Amino acid sequence: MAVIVATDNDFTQVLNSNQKVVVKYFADWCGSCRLFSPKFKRMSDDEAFASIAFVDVNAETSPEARKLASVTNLPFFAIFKNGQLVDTVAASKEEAVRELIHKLDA
Amino acid sequence: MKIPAIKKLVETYKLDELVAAEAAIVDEQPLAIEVEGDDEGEQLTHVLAAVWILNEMNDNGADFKTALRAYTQKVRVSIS
Repeated sequence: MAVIVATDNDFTQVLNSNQKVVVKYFADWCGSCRLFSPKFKRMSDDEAFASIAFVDVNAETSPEARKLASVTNLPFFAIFKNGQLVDTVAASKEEAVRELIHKLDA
Repeated sequence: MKIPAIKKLVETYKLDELVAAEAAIVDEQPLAIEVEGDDEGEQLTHVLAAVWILNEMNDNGADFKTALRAYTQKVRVSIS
């Protein structure tokens, strides 16, 4: 599934129209964010995560979406279920993000 | 992110060398210049910062300190 690019304008709508969501917060100045992009795309194509919407949010230009997950570092990942924040992690390792996403199955 | 590492890049290399380093890191190729950083992500952050600051200096006539302040403001905004 393609990664959805969201902004403050449509972030809440994206959360409410998908039961399970993982958000990657990034910024153009963040090298680790850039390097994580192909991994995030690959995970979004993984059949194991077929029921999950993968969302990209530019933390620099989307302050409201950023504040919803209390972003403290980048890249930063947050999972939402039925529109509600479940958990977050600031990490550059794919394993940490996969572990976070699996919490959506609990 | 380490400010001294960014300053060193700005003072040592030209824009085209930094842009080439950016591409090399993304493509997982060996680097032709020395870039400090604990991992590839931090190295790339340093290179992207140096490119941004050099462009700010060239486009707006800013000195290094002013351009660096503008850059760090961008970073702070993203995570505050």
